[in-house]
Amino acid sequence: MTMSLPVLSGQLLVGLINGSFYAILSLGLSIIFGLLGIVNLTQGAFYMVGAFFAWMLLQWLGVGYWGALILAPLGVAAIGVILELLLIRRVYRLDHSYGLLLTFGLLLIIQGSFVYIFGTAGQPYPIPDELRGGYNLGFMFLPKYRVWVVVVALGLCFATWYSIERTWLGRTLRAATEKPALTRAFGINVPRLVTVGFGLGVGLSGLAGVLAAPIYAVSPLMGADIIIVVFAVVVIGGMGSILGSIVSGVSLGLLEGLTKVVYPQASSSVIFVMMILVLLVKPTGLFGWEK
Amino acid sequence: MRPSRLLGPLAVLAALTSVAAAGEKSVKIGVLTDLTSFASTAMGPGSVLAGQLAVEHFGGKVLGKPVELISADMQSKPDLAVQIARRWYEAENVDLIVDVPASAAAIAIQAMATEKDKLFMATVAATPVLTLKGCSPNAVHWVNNTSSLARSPVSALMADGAKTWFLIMPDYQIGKDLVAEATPFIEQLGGRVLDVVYFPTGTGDFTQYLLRAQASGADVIGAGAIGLDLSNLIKQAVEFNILPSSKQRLAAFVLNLSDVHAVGLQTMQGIYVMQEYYWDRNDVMRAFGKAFFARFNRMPNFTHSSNYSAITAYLKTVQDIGTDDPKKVVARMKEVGAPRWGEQVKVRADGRVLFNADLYRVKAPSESKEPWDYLKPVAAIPIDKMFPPADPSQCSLVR
Amino acid sequence: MSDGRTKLTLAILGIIVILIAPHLFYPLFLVKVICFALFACAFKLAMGTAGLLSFGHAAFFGGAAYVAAHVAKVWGFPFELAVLAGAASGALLGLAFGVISIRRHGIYFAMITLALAQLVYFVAVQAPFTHSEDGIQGVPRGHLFGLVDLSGAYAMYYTSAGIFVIGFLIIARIIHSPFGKILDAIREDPARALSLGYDIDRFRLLAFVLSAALSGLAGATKTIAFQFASLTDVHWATSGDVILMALLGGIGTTFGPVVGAIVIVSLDEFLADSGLPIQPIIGTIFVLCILLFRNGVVGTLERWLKHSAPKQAGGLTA
Repeated sequence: MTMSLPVLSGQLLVGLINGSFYAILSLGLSIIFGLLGIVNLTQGAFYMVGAFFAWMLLQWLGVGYWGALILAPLGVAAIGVILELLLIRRVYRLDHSYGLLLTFGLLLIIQGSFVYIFGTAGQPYPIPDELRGGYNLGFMFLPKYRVWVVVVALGLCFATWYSIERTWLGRTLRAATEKPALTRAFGINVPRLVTVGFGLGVGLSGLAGVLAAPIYAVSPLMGADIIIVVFAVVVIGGMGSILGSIVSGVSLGLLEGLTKVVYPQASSSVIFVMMILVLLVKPTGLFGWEK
Repeated sequence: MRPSRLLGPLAVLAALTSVAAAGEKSVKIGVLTDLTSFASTAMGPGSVLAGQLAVEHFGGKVLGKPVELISADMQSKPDLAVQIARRWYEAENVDLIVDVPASAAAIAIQAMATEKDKLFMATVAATPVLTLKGCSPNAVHWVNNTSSLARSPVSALMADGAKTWFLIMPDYQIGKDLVAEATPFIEQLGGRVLDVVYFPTGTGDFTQYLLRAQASGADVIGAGAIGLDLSNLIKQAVEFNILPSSKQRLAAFVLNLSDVHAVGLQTMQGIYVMQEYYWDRNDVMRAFGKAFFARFNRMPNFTHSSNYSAITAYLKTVQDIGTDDPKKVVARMKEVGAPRWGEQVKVRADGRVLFNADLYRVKAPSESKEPWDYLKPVAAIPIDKMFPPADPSQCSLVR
Repeated sequence: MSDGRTKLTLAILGIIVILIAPHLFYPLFLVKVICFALFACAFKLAMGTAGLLSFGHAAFFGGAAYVAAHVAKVWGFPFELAVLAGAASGALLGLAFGVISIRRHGIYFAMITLALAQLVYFVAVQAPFTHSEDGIQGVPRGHLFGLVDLSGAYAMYYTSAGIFVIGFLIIARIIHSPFGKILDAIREDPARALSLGYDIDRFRLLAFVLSAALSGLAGATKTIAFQFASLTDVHWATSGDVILMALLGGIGTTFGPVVGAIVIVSLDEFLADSGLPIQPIIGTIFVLCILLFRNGVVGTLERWLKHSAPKQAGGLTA
């Protein structure tokens, strides 16, 4: 199968764009694992709910994309916080497998309910007018909206990395994770901090959902399809490592893009091969550390 | 014979004798569909409603017996479907099963119908196996199969001048079946398939495949993606300026009206698709569409309407021959044909129901005058262009 | 009542139930319950006894389903050989998975098994002999040992029940054997077991392979009873289902997984006609189990019985 260089460039560019999308999605998962040691499979459901909130805001309240970018993640974060306070915090002292299983159960409930109420067909959501159209690069047409997604992704990644590494909030969050008793001794309300952190991680997924709504069909199934990939991204990058999520997200987008060129049937599975290889050589991931 | 084995037949005997000279009290039809999972919008509650309407419009009785309609949720799990079907056929006196969205389950249930001497009408499954290796004297394949799904857009668009094709297909049996059927037919009509891409189902982003299709310069991009995959594919084709195009057309091989509704006319306009039923096509179809809409608030998919027409044909045939014996019903349909949307259609020896259909184009928003006014017919597709001949080497019912 | 007598009574009750059940319930439905009960017990061996949370057990169950279907239909293997072939394929696949992943623990182990199972799913979609979503159809049931015709519902049921009893006894024997005790020790405190000189990876690998083989046995039996194999058997949702069954019934108990399988398979069957959203209901049960009934139905029952029974001299209770 021959492919000219221009066409190949287009393929890889798309892969990069998708990779930045994976990076945003995996940020939330990474933060939560770093904070709580819990693999939050519900993240996929929150992504989907974020997209649905955007649709609901438009459909029922006439609130457009820009409003949704702020309101939807807040709504999703609120739900996440409630779930954390009521349910998820009960499994912290247990084996981490229970956290994985609990969030898996929540994923089933949320997704199943949405399928029951809305059906699986998907809801229409338009690209906002300001972001329509694109640039003709010669070898392909690059939609403005995709550029926007990359810009947001880079911005979010940088902002998250900066907050965790450089600000008081980030430092305190990290301290609360590594030495909770000591942190509490300093007068910090650790449980509340954990809740805030969880809300942040979940809100990031909701935001990713709003970003996805104009380009991917808004359907209750959109979370399950993507969570497995994001899961692999975070594992490969290193659970709890922000830098790891970003690097592996983008790289895996590229790898998936390359696979779509040479052996498309395997494009959903190649990520698992990577995951296995990384887990064998360095189980904590490329940038991760032992918890 | 072990003593415990006698208990079974004894129990049945007891049940039978307790109901004096029962015979069959009703004609029972089961709609086995996906009510709450992946196929619930394409089939699901709509299929059940279509079945109910068929029974109601027929009058609720046949040969002096009441017609009973039941339904169950197979949740997209083939073995659950098989389990329910077996219980229905063996223990609950169900005479006819329809719907069954999973091809694995449809093939298995058709075999079961043969084994138990019951009736199965494939009203939504598209696998060609049902009239080939799996053909049965107790079943008819009522809805389109991959042969007609593949051939329809090919014959109509190539008659309109299209020559080269780029196929984007799901990496599933249905995708392979569509390619296997479309490719020789395209070549037979003087065209060429430039390339085929198989994508894993559940792919969210089709951009790379679409860019390749665009670069290939093919006259038609043939998309075999189904449901959500198709919605994403078309959305991204529009986003990346691949559609609308004066040089390339997109034909969807498998599309439901609910998909058009989900994505919207703005994005979907100009797509070519074959539909064996469209609510606005003629008076007969419109009557059902409006009755369905009155209860469901949505216009029916061709899958829903397939259940309606199949059950109607079944009841009419039973009425005609005075018995609901499955082999006799099927034999009758093969002999004189079956009523379908106001016409009498032929049913082949292998169980394949033959009908013609239309190629449609999705309207632009400005062309749509009322809700659900989505499709514009552009070409009729004659029967001989839709179905390949029966294959006696695969189905022994064909002589 | 002593522990031994309780177990004997339960066993006799179990036999009676197995014998009369097909006259009260639909036999094919019971066969499904039985196969999943065996699957859940096999899973318990991995997770409950050896502490290996595997998120990919469907690979063993479904892989065996395809193998058994193929050898029975295309190669004409008799029933018992087809089922054994399924179990063997489970063991081999379990060995392959185990060799790759056994050195990892906890979450990381779960993730490798999930990834490996996804690769098995990919192979199932691609391989020509599986026919993708059409599945392998028309698998002949054949005759048991060339004598008993399995096409009848009762013959198939009793044969499946027999296979289940054998499998269950093997698992129970393993759990209560010295080998099983070592597995318990490794699960509870791997560091200490290591310091006592046990090659913990080898023990865990053996337990995993046994669990995979018995899962394969369950998958092969189900396939032949239903006469077809499909992609659902290797899908990760099936892995999730078996985890739920084991947890619901009680991962730490011997009978728990059986109860869990009965509940979940019954829910699917009895709610099918209701139009209720089954996925959210199952998800809710999952969540309730993890939060409130971590010992599962049987585990909670056992605890409650132990608390209310008068203490025996010498303290027999574990």
